[in-house]
Amino acid sequence: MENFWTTLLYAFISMFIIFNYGMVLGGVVYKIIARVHGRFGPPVWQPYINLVKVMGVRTAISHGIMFWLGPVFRFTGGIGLFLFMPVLFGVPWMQNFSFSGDLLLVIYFIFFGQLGMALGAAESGHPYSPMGIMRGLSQVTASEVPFALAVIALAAQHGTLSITEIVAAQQGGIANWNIVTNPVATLAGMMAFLGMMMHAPFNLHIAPQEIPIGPPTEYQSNFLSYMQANRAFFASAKLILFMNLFFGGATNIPVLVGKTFSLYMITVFIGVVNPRFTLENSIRWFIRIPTVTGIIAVLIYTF
Amino acid sequence: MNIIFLIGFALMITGFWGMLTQKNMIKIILGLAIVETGVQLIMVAFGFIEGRTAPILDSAVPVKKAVEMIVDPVPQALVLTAIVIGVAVNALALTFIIKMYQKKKSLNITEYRDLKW
Amino acid sequence: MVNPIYIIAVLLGIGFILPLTEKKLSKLGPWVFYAGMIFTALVSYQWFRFFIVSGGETYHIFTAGVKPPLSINLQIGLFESVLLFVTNLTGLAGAVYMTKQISETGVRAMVLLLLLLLGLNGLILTRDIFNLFVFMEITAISTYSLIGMDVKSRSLSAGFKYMTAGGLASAFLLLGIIIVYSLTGTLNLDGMIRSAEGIKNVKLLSIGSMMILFSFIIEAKQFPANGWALDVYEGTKPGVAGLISGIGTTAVFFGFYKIMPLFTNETLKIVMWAGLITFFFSNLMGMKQENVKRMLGYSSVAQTGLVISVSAWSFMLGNDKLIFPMIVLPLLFNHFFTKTGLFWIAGLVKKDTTGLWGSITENKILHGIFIILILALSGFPPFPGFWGKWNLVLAMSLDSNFFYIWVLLAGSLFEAAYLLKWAGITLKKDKSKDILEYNSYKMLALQIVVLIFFAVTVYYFMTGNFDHTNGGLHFYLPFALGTGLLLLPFIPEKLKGMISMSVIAVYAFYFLPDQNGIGRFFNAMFLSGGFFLTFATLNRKDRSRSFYPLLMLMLGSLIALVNSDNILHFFFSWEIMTLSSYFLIHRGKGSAEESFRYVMFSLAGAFLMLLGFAYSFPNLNGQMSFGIFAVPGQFTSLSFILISIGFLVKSAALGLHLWIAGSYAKAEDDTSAFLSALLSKAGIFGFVMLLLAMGAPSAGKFDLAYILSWIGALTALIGTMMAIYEEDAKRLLAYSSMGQVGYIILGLAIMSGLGWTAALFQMVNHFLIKGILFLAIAGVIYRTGTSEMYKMGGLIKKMPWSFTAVMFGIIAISGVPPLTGFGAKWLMYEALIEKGWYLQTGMAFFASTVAFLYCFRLIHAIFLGQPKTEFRNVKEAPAWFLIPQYVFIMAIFFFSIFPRVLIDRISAAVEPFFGKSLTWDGNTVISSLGYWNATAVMTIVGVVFVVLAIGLFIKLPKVQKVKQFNIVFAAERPETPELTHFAYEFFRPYRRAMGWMVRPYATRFWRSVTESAYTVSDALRKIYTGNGQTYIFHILLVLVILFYISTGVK
Repeated sequence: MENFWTTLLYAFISMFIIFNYGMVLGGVVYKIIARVHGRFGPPVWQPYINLVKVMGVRTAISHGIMFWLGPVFRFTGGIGLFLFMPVLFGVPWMQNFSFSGDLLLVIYFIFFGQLGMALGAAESGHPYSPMGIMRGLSQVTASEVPFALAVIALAAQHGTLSITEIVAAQQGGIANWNIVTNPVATLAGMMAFLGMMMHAPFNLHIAPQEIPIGPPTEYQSNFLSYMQANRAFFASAKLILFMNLFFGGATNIPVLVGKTFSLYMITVFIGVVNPRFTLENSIRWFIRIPTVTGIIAVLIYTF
Repeated sequence: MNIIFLIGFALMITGFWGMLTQKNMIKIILGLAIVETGVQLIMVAFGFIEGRTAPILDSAVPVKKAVEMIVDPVPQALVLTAIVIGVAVNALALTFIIKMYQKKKSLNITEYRDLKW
Repeated sequence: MVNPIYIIAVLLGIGFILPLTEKKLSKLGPWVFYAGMIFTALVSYQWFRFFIVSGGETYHIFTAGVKPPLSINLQIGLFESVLLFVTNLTGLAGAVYMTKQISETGVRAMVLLLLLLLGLNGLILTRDIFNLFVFMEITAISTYSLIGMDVKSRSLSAGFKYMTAGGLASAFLLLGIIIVYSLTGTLNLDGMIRSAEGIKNVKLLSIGSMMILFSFIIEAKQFPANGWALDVYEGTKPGVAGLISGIGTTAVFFGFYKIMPLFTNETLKIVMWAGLITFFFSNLMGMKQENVKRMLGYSSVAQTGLVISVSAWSFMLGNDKLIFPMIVLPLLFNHFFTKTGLFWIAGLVKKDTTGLWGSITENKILHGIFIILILALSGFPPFPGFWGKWNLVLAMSLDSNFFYIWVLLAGSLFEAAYLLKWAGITLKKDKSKDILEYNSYKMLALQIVVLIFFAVTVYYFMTGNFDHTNGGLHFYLPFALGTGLLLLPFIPEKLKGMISMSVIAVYAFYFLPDQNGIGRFFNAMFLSGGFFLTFATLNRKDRSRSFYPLLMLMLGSLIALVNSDNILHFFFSWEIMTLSSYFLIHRGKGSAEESFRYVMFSLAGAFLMLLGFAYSFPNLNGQMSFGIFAVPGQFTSLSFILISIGFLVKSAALGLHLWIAGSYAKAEDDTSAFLSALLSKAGIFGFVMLLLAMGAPSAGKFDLAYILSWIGALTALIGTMMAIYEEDAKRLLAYSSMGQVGYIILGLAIMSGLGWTAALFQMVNHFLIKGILFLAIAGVIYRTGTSEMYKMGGLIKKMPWSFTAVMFGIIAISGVPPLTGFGAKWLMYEALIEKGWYLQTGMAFFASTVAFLYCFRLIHAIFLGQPKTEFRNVKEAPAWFLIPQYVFIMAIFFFSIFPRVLIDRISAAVEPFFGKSLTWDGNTVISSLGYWNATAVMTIVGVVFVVLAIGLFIKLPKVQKVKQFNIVFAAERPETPELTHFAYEFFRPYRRAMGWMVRPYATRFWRSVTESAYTVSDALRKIYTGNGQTYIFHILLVLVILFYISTGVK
């Protein structure tokens, strides 16, 4: 740990970059959705405005200690997820704290923020909160199935669960990417990805704008600011994860931006042209085609 | 001698027939008695030796020659015991029947089916 | 030494004198009677001592001063003296029992009892076959008369049926005797047996012996020629029925036993199977029985059949001298004392149907005796029946007679079913107020019999453990505390709890350091868990005689299970564990049905396990060590499967899980923690031992470990799936427990170092978590009085400590980093992927995400959301519950930060068998696939969390705190906010989508199994129509069948 402080410094730098990237990404998405709807749309920096605005809100209500801690859990989950992941392959200052654990750690840490948030929001006593949480959790369990199978197939393919090594194995041109070398697993993973990015048709559980359901409606002021900032981290982290797993990772920031942006756009485009699934619909969808695809991906390596 | 065996078996079969077909309890006990009689006949027949006399030591059978003169005494002794026991059991059974009749005014065995399964 | 012929003389003499002097000596009569009884008991005791203590030689008594064949001779040896002694002592007790009856009916009853005893003594002593007949008739006539003394239509008709059967039996006995006599020329048994071999007319001899056999089959009440006997047991007064079933059957059996050498092996084979068939069918028919005395009758008939069957088999083997004391006598004694005792208890309780037996609880001593006798009769250790059956099973396996063992154990299971059901009724709390007739004479007689039974039990317990080389007493030490506490009902509950805790601590201090390997690992868990969970029970306020003894017995059996080093010890502990946990579960309210289901599943599993032992037992020429499993034998895979099923039942694997939710939920709240945290690990320990000893054999093309892995994965998934739909917190946790144990099985099935590390890590994790969660829920239920989650809500404000405990519990159980649950998941997936079992990995992963659903539901429905009005004033759970929870939480945190402490210990235990599978780089554990640094994870998460929390605190120093109920939705304040708590059918949409996974297929299957068993039972017993003539028909039918078999075999 002689270069502990260096690692920490690097982590801060990468966090700063990724935060801003995530915020801008969110703004771009607003814009795209608006254009699809035929509106002009907010400026790209609208998320910053939102953030500053909610931080300035004077009314902050707390229903209790768990409620208060909910956003902290949530934000810790987002930052932690990002910190446990190597961002750029072969770039020492973008490895974060990926020495802490492998792919399994990253996958399981996704739940940390969700669980804490769920506990916090549920303390509010508002009946819509648990309803939203129930929907979110239910859908996660379904979408995780194809994702897990895809990850298992990758681990079987490369004989490792280390993200760095999986990325390393994909270096040297597009022909080595997992999307080419393991298309079935990639397909399963990407279908799961749709469910994890909180866009239509799989966004019943957040649905905050139309009907007041889910945790975000219960939080104001800085609580909400934590959640919004988390969303930047969380989304970027997940994008980086998928990029690393299936699309060869990235060795520099432009490639990172290019790949993750394209990845994000997939969900956004699918989202804007699709209506919303009910919970049963989305669960059934996930345990049919994506799961079967995942099973095929796994079976390829079983026999 | 074979005839005695046959009669014995015939009696036993008759007794079984009686026990299986008669509903009257007294008749069933009589059937049992007939079976016992058949058995006793067979027992005696087993001990019988052609041309010898009953194993009773009296003037006709001197003690010293008894072994050559008499039939096997053991079955006869057994039969005596068996008869006594058989009589005792039958008598006891009949008293049971009397008591049962006093309770239910019936001798039909199918009436006494409180205990079952 | 008093010549035993004086027994006969005295009994006969008094029998004659009493009626003759009835008028003159009316006051003295009873004294003479009892004196005669005591005399016989003393004489037989003298002989008993002579043979047992001095090891005297068999003694022959010749009447009339000449030797056979001219005289009748008696023989008294070791076995005769033992039987004589118990018979006469029980006869005396019987006389005491019937004191009231005797004083009412006067001389007649005394004479009949004397004659009965005379007949029985004669049956045991005589070596002359005709004499045998005479004594049998004396016994029969006195029995008929004893039955007839109760002048009621029921007993008279029963007696009448008995007489017809007895008459037929004696007729055929005579016929057989005369035929054999005519061939051998002697009536002396030894002479007959000696000369029977040289007989040329084999056919006639076989007909003769067949008739003797037939007669004894009737007298010994063998199936199906035994309808009359059942009626007799039902219709007779319990005092007499007890004597008939106990000493009567024993003497008749011994008569039968004596003539068995006369039979050829073919005939003996018939006897052996006829006896077993009797055992099986009588017990099967007994299941549907609700009349107490008739039920005992079925059991009595069954037990007699078994004893006869084993005896016949022993003569077939030519090994009767060894088998008689090792198997026949314990089985016989077990039957003898329990049946006599139970019939006599029936005479005290005076309730015909089992359902009304709740009133027995009014008399604590009587109830205690009752339970003990039921357990002994069901074949539980440490009673003689257990040793008998154990030896029988092993001996049968050496004889490769496995089908016999199957039938034997099936019959035993049926028997246990109806007996335990009966016992269960008496354990119910809702007892009817009935004044028992507390007849001191009857109680005295009962106590005499039970006292002898205890002596016999102790004897067989001491001799049954002939294998003292492995520290037999050391092994039994853990049971001592439970038994000891049972004898201290008067001390306060808290003191008992503290004694228990300190004994656990002392035991751990002295014995744990000496142990090693996996055993030490398990024992450390059982002891520490036992210690802290017992702490929680100190909260109890109600006094209970049985709680702490049972708890300590259960804990002791777990520890002994781990300490066991042969299959006997293993099975012994297993049975005690099943039993003590059954009674513990039974203590819960409304748990009768659930605990019965639990014990039946457990027993069936235990019997299958025993079968598995039996299939492997011959491998090492009769050694009982675990080494038998290591030797490849003919039945290795079958043995593995059977034993596995036993463990799978205890682990509540899918398909065998029916008992788990009900029994965990209905058990008392602090007990459930023991069940889930500790008891569920017994099956795991079994698997560990089995897999270490046997490896994972394959059956044909199937790799059994692979099948086991699917069982584990499916159990994990379906258990979890079932948990999320439960409304009851304890049922939810029970299914959660099932799912978590499924992971452990999956891990063990991998059969690699990493897999086992994962399994054992998961086990410790589950132990700690379930300790926390069940205790926390126990605290909540203690305060709210309900376990239905939707009836609570918002309790976080009232019970913050419990909430925090549950929160850490669910984080740990769901596998979210940074707590230990993640370590378990990480190890598990690494091991599974390393093994190449990708589909199982996927399924396990799915299960672990589904687990989030029930975790959230548990904490939300109880602690979050809106509170209910009636719980607005509840207090925090008692410290008794909280302290152990926080001890466990500290352990979880410790293992979360320093998992190496735990993993290193597991590795040390596992490495000798599988080699090294994990390497360490500082705090990073490295497997063949990946790496994990728990310390770093914990640090990073902790730092980020604290920084963010401080940040929020600085930014938002003034938060407007609102109380519960202060909510607005749909732009309105709800008038009754407590109704807005969304908890009931929480995952309904999920159920609509995924409910097909949890349809009760297993429940339906097992229900149809039990229903068909009961239907068959009910249909079969209809052959006993109650019509005396039908019984005669049955008897003659048996005659025809026997005749056909014995001539057809030739």
